[in-house]
Formats: sequence, C-alpha cells, structure tokens
Amino acid sequence: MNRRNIARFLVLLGFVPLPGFAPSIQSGIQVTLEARQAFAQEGWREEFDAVCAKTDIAMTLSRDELTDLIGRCDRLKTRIEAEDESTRKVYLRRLGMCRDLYRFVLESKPPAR
Amino acid sequence: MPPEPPPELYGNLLIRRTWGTSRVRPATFSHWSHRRKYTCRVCHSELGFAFRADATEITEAENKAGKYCGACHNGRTVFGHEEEHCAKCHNGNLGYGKEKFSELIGLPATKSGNRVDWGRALEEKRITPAASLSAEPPSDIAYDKTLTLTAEWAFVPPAIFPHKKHTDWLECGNCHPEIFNVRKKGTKQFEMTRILKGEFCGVCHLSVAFPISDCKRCHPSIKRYQ
Repeated sequence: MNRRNIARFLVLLGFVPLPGFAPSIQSGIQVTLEARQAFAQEGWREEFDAVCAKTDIAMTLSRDELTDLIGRCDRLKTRIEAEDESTRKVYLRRLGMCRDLYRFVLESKPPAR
Repeated sequence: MPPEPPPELYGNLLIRRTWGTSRVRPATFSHWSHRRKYTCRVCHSELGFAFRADATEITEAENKAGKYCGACHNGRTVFGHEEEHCAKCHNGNLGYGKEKFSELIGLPATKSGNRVDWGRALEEKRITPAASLSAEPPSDIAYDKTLTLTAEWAFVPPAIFPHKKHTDWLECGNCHPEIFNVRKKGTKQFEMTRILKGEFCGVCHLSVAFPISDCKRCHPSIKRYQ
C-alpha cells in the first residue's frame, strides 16, 4: 500500500480529518468507536433473536440442531457479558432460559443410534 | 390449602425489594389488570421478570431506560416514571386500583381466584392480550400434548395437564427446565405437599393462575371437593 492509499484508508476510518471539515482526531476516533459499538450491539441482538426464536419449536429440532443452538448460546453469552449491567441482567437471563430449554430437550431425546 | 384473598386482590403483590433501605414505598402490581393486555410471557420471558416477587432487581434507572416496567411505563404506552405518577405504583397498597376490577364483569366466570376463567376468556377472544412487545410476535407453539398424570393417592382421579392451555400464555422455557425438570415419565415427584409449598404447579397456581383449591380444574373426575 503506497502513502496515498494509506492516507485514504485513514480518512475512511475517521482517524484523519479532511481539510475544511475540521473534526478533531479525537472525535473521529469517538465516532468510529460508537459506530463499532452500535454495529456490535446490533450484531448480538440479531443473533440473540435468531437463537431464542427457536424455543417454540425446540421439540421438533434434531440433536445436531439443538447442539448447534447451545453452542451459539454459549458464544452469545460471552458477547453479552461485555455489555452494560442492565443489558447483562435482562439478556443473560433470557439467554439462559433459551439455552437451558435446548439442553433440556436434547437430554430428553432418546440417544442417537 | 392457603387462604384465598378476595377476588380483586388475588394475584396482587407488593414489590418491596428496597423497602427499608429507601424512602420509596413498595410498588403494587396487579396481575389481573396486566394479563388482560399482555400474556405472561411478555413480562416473564421478554422483559426478564422472575416468577417470584422481589427476585428481580428492578431499578428506577433501568425502568427509565426502558427495561422492566419501563418497557411500557414510558409515558407513551402508558403513564411513565415522572414524579406525578410515582404513587400510582409506589403506594404500598395491595388493593390500589381495585375499583377497576369491575371492568372484568362479563368475562367467563369461575368460583375461585379472580372469579374469571382467564383461559376461556382468551379462547373466546373476550380478551386479546399481546404475546410480545416486538413487532414480530412469536409463532404459536405447536406442541399441544395433553398429559394424564396419575395422582399420588388411589382415591384421587388423575390430573390432566393440557400444554396448549399453558402455551397460550407462556413459552416452553418458562417452565422447562427450571420448574419442571422432568425427563422421565411419571408423576411421583409432583406431590401436592410440594405443590402447596410453591413448587411445580404451585409456582403459579397458588397466587396468580386459578388456585389449586379448585380441584376439578386439574382433576376433572373428582367427585367431592371444597
């Protein structure tokens, strides 16, 4: 990457203010961080909704599907644990209910032959 | 059997988690006034309220941020957390708002609890509580198996457990596995003495859903009761 491309890249990331616009480097970083946090939050909320939407049909899911959902719950838990306290309180409880149900249904199923 | 309060107080509770450490009076909550508008799953799943009063750490800041009660009590859906509304909930009065109980007149009747057959009211669409606060409501739960549960005493006929009547209000994860962690067939563990202590069916059927003193609702073939 030559110098010109590096400069373009930094401008795109918001680290370097464009002449005439004058946002500080600090605010550029702030905007970028907020955007990333918002994106990350959106990401886990979508995944949360997708994972917990299957509780209604848990009884019809195969062992593999249930195992996959439990794994997704575990990965999601790590992401939610990084959120603020009240988000953790509400969503970890809900996530725990989803995970526990999938585990319950999985353990209730007769073993695969 | 635990004594049953008057119909207008059945299912009412006081949330007194911080009573004693703050100046704020316990918050009153009436199930009958809320369940007309929302199914149980909205609060006990979507909003994260535990089934036991005071087990959920609800804070004013969280309510104001749209969590817990604040999901609806936001000044748009219904009255919010402005100072003039504090005493509508934080009044320490279990019977607060009982004058509105007359709004339930005309709903299918029973002999116990709120004297309202909430299940029938829902089936007959006399009430249409929302099943979710989100734009996309959850799909209906297809699992509708009715269980016949042998009673612990020979002279008591079996209890009937219709999943459908429960999934109309709740979702599977509300009961399984936390309340009913049952993997084997059999009913030996569902002793009435444990139910009366608030386990199993007793989580709801002692204080909110129809009370277990209404034997026939679960044991339809029972001859003598009450």
